[in-house]
Amino acid sequence: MTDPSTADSDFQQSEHITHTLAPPVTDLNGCSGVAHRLRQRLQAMVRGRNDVIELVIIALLSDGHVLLEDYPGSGKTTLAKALGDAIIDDRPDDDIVTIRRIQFTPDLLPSDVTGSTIFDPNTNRFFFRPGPIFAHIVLADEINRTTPKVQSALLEAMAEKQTTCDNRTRKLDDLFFVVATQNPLDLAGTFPLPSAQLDRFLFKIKMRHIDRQSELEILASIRARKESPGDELPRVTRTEILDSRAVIEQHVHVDARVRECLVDIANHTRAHPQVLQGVSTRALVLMIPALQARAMAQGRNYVGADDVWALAPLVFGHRLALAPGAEAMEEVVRQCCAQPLEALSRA
Amino acid sequence: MTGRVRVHWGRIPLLLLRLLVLGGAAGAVTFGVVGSWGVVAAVVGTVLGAVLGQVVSGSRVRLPLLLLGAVALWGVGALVARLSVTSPWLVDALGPSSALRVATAARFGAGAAALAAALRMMAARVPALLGVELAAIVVAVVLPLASHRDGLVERPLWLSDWAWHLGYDPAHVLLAIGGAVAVVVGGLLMARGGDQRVSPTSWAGLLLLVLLGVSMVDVAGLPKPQAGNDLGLTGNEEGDDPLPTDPGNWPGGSRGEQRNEGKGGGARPEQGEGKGGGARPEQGEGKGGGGQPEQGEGKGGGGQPQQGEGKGGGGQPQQGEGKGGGGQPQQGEGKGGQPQESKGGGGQPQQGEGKGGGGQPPPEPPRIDDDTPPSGGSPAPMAVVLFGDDYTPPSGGFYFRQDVWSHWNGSRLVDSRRPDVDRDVPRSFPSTPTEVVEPPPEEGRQTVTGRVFLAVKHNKPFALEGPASLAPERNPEPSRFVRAYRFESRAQTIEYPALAGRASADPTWTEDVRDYYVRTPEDSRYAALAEEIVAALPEDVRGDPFAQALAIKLWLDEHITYSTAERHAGAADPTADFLFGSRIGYCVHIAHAAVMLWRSRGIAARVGAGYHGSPDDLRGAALVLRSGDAHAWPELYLEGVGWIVLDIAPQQSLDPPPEPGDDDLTEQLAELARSEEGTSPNDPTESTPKATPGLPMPRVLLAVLLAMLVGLYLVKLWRRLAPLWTRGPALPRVAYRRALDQLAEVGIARQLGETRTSFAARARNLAPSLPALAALSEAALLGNPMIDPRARPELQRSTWFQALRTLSHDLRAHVPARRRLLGLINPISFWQVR
Repeated sequence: MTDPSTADSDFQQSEHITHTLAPPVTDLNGCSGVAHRLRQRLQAMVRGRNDVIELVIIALLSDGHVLLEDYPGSGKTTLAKALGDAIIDDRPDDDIVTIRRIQFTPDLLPSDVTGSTIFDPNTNRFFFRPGPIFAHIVLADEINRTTPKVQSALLEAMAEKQTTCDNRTRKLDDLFFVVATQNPLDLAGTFPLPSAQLDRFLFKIKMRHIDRQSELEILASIRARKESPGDELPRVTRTEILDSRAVIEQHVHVDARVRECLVDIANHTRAHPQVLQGVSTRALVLMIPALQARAMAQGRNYVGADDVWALAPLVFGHRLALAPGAEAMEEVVRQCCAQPLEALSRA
Repeated sequence: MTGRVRVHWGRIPLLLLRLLVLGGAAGAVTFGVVGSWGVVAAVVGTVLGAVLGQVVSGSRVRLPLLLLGAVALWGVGALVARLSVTSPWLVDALGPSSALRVATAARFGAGAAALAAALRMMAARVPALLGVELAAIVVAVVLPLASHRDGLVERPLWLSDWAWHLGYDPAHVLLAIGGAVAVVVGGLLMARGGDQRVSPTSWAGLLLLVLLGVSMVDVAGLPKPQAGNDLGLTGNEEGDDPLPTDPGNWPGGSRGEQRNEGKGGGARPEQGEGKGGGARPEQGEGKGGGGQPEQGEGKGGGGQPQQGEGKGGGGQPQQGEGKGGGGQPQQGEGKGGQPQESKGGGGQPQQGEGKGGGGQPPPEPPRIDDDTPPSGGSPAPMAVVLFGDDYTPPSGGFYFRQDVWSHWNGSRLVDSRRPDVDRDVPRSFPSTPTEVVEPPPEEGRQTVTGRVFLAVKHNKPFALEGPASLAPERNPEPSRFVRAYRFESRAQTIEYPALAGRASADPTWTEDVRDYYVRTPEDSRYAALAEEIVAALPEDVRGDPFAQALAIKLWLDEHITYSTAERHAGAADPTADFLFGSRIGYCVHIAHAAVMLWRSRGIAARVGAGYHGSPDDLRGAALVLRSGDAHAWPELYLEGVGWIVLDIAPQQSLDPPPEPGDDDLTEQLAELARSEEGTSPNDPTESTPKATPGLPMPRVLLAVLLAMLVGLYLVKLWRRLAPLWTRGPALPRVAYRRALDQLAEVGIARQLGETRTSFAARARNLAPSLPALAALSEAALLGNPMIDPRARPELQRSTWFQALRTLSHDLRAHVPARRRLLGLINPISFWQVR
């Protein structure tokens, strides 16, 4: 993805020390700095996953959630933890922590996710004990191993940024970012995510095995990372991320032609002979901020054809229902993109 | 991308079609060349070779290496073929016939496979070379059918026989085959699997195909007469427009179908050679029979009379003795020579290559018994005559004289070689206004002008009898007429009764000339018959030449039966055979008979040959002369009025009456002939004849292609320079287009589905500055229009010029000059830009 050294000039001036506040983010340069800092930290913690890191940053800055599909032990949790580490909670007074991890199992109950009302014998009153989703970053591990009931509890939280427990609706944090993982191998004893649930995720990222060089680096640096978990690198605050989202939405231009292109792509997926169900309008709605975030990450103030080309398979891939015997998902999406994108790319 | 080989199922039908066509082409080209074993081997070899070529072209091996492989395959096949017939133990093992078959199969199979594989590999690797493959297919299909060119729709015989047998017109069959080939080739040219783009070369090829088709339709719009001439009037001219002062050229054209080989005094092909297009199939092969009949006054060879001598033929006949099988020396093979008058005693045989010392070999005279008789009512139009004056012939017909036969060669009258006779007949087509050497006297004659438009090549000009001058005329429709000229004639107006009382000789004639015109065969029967006829005249007019001639004419009218069926072929003197035999014959015989009878009475006479047009066929001022109008007639000389046509009109005819002329065609042709009226008629440069009617099309084609080329360069230049004058919002597009043009010139173009960014990344090693340029372009297109344009660098001219300069610099640094020059020359480089 983007070469970090060219990403911005903002980073040079913000010689952050950990826990020190940077100037408020008001323009795209600031956003770029935020993205750069996140990238630096994550790349330091997670080797060989630069592409995934970039996508996670984009999702974070465009208020979407990501679903990682990979084998166990391939760095999903490491990535989520690194992300949690990179974010400073600059509102320590509320009950919301930076990162929570939920390990989904078949016997998990919704209240284990959302929190439950507990009787306090000292005060003789019930009080709400928030569940793990009351966090900035929620790592939902092996999400397809739990029951649909629990999955749907998470669904409401992801879509509405609120959760209902005992008929009382409680708001979640604005920066509520779910990194869910699912295991492609263990099909036995899993509850595949329904398409409605999948629709809540902005990206579904299939992670591949990292390359040899990165793997060697990981093995060589186990000790070093244990001793200094990259704390010397600057972090970002919750406010900075929220500000960045607002700035990106406001300042990155989405041309009418790009919107037309998106609609055309959607129509192509709906008309494609190998597709049973095309992409939803919500997918397009969710995609716009993602495109903006990527354009920003690439150092542009407008959304270009390349953004659409890069993100379309990730956004649309898990939303399409393919007919039996169809080609690979990515191939179908690429076919649907080719013609609408041509309108943007023509000289 | 992945390295896995993808099977494009969508392209399988196309591949099958290709194989089918290739196999068919292989079969077509080998069909007439080799036996069934070879044909089958060639077809199978072609199909296998094409499949092999297709498969192998997908590999990473370089094309020249692959082609070498194909050559090697061919070599192996040839080796196997050779071994299987030369190696004794193989022949023993297989048996001689099997060995031969194996040899044939190996030679043709391997050859076809190698060729097909090479073509397929080239086409698969380089789209432009698809044209080579298709051209090979077209040639393969056309070769066996090519013998029908020049309008010989009945060739090739195997096809026309088959078509006639099934009740089809072979012309339609040929047309259908041609159309089918064009459609298939066009289809293969355009067919592409999936998202491949049709290459510009293919488009150009298709355009060429369409233009060719249009030209065919244009040329074939009217039926083109190619029918054989009847009296040897048509044929190739010899020595186009010879200078009148060149004595070697004065005899003018060769005769009939005969083509002059142009060997400069060498052997002249016998008329029977049938090389000249075979319009007269009965004339057979006779390749070796290059005998050259020559008249006594032969110019070359020191006046040595020469005897026709077939190369394959044994001895030679002399003095009118028929030689060869069945006593018909003239028919067919041309083996036997021709009976000749021989002055030098014991005619010296001359082999074909007789070096006639500098003299032009004289043309062969038409034979009285070998001419195809005029087939009455044959509809093929030969020429259109547009009269410029009103004229009513007293004879009741228009006589267009092309030739006169006055020299007795022992069996018939032929064209004279003497310079001092028949000087009233133009010998060659006019390239400038030309006076006839000895025009007829003005007495009893009226000046009639007219224009002649030849639809078929003639070897000499013809004009209404009594021509005074000829002048070239602009050809108004070169695709229809081969030549045009105008004549001014002194046509006979004097009524026949007024001709009495004139001597039949000119006072200026020498004794020799006078003798020449009355020479007859040494056959007393002519004189006896003439004497008998004249004896019936009243005393007072019995001595008058015209009265005698008229009496003979009337006698012939009564006693002759006209028929084109009776040829009198094979007789030593066909005229005698006719006159003192059955008295059934056609115009040539009749004219000869009349002339001989007249001559035996001392009347100067000769045979005129040309066309006879009836005033009934006149449509306005236009007269269409058809092949059936070819005619020969007797003429006699009368003092003061010159040569007078006195045609014989037999009262009995065995032939059906001729078909009436086609008025529509007459009008159509006359319209064409008139179409350019008003333009300068005397422009000799315009009257240059067209060698073939199809000739203008290549020129038009060339002009169209040239115009297209210039247009392409203009477009290219415009696209290159447009940024200089473009202002405002269009600038980024125009400038970016220029950049892409430059890249396309060196062979890099954006593929379908590639974004600017990914293309720029791909082209990075040739143009490191391209990503920035692409980003500028995209920013201009998709950037926020709300931002002040002055704050957007992508809209500034300076930015763009800087970027374009950098790009040019990049290209100069990374692309060899040779490649850049090639790109600059390429007129369609911008085609690939998208």
